[in-house]
Amino acid sequence: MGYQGKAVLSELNFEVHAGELICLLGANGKGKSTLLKTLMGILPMVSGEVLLNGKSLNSISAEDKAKEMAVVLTDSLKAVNMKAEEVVATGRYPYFSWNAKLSATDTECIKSSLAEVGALHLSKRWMMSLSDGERQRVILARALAQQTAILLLDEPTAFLDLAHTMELSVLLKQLSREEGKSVLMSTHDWGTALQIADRIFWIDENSCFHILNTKELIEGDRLHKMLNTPFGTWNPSLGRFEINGL
Amino acid sequence: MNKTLLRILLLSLVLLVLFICDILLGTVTIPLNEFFGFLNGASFSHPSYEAIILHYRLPKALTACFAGSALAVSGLLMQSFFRNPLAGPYVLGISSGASLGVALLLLFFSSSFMLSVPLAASLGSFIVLICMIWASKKFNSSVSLLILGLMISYLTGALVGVLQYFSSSEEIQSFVLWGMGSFAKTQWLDLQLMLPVLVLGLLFAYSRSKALNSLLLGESYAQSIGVSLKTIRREILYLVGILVAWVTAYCGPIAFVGMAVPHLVRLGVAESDHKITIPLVALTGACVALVCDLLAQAPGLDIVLPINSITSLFGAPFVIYYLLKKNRLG
Repeated sequence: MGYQGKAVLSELNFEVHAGELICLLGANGKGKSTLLKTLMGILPMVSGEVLLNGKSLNSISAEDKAKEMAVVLTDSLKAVNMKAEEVVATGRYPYFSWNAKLSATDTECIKSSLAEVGALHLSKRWMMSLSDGERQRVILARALAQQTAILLLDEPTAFLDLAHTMELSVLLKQLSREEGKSVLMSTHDWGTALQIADRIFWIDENSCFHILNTKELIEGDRLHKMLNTPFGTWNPSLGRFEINGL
Repeated sequence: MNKTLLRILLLSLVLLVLFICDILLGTVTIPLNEFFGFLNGASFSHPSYEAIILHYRLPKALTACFAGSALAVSGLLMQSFFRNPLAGPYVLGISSGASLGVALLLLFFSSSFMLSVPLAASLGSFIVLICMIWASKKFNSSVSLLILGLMISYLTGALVGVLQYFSSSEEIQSFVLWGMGSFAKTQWLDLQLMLPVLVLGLLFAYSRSKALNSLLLGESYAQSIGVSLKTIRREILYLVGILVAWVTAYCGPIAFVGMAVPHLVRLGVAESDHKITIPLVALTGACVALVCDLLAQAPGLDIVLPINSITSLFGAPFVIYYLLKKNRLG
């Protein structure tokens, strides 16, 4: 998997189940976005295969794929000259033909998606007038409106403050637990990942791909080795990282 | 939706008024009451009026309408596709590419067959469009793309200059006249070839509204909701190439209409849904082209100014205004 025939990451082999929340961690430039884009089918694979419900991703039409997988990308859509509800409405595109108007079902779905992320009151606002946190919620609502079994998110918490990060975490956890969605999100935030993820995919410095069990990670001392810096330690009893020398 | 319908009706009304003005005004002014009389079956007080209207002004006004619409919609498509507010067929050098095609044809093979001019123009515009699509992937900044468009314009201008040096004075004259731009050179026969192509192109653009809307969120999001990037890119390439080439072939390179009209529409309409903006931009484009044509006839004077000068006189300050405004916003 990689760009223009050049492999960024190799030898990956994993399955993602329904109702599972997975966090993807790793340093910048190690291939988190590349992995997500490959799973979305936006980037072609160098070699190998992605199966969606047992079918090869390449054999599924773009429209059918769009009904199975929704994405939240790092693009903040700040410059997009659209209202929040219009952005969310694009999530319904896989479901209607070129000239069809939004049906009652579509409108209902847009509303409920916005309500689910607590952004119903923002629906008539322009994207550029929203704060980063508000905009991120609208973008998530867009993905929800697509009504897919799989959600792929590329650093959804990057622009968010602590409170909004927590809010989003709860929401994503609910989506996987209660609606049975498979959620795969990339993040830099180990603290959040360890709290919400069922499993953690980690790309290390040498671009090796690891699948880690969150519970074992928290209890073991592996995190300390992974962290690999004299400035901090993992405290298994408190379940958090600590900065040394303070 | 009602608001959109109201806007479309209003614009259509303005278009109708401008259309009638364009038919009646010029070096010879035809009285309005006689025109309405003529529509009701009466004849004109002056026999030449009928000939002026039927053989000269009506084809000219129709050409202006459709050329304006086609250029404006091309501009809108390019702005959506490049996600760049400064994109447009003239600004990005697509019109220049068409000019080069026509120059090669007129200056090298002075005898041209019926569709040779549009075909040569299409070829030229396609080549530049492909370059621009390639370049848009290399440059992130809209200003870089704009500068590249200008450079392509200079380059084609220089090539045309070299060609002219080796051409006879008659060949140069026909090319220079073509390059000034005019809606008045089309006969009914030309319209029979031009209008169907432009109408089909505009309808096709409208039919792609959904994909165009999804492109507003960027290419990755568009792909994630089932839009094939390859298909839509190819469609926009062919569509813009053909629309611009066809207009350029018959009317000469018309400056700035394509870039400026979508912005003019955005001043009054906040929505960016292409199902709303494409009809509005098409109507506004037609109105703007008619206004430019009316101004080009320099009311009260016995001269006809080149249409390209008029559109540049308004278009260039508009681009400057836009850059200043953008700069202020940061």
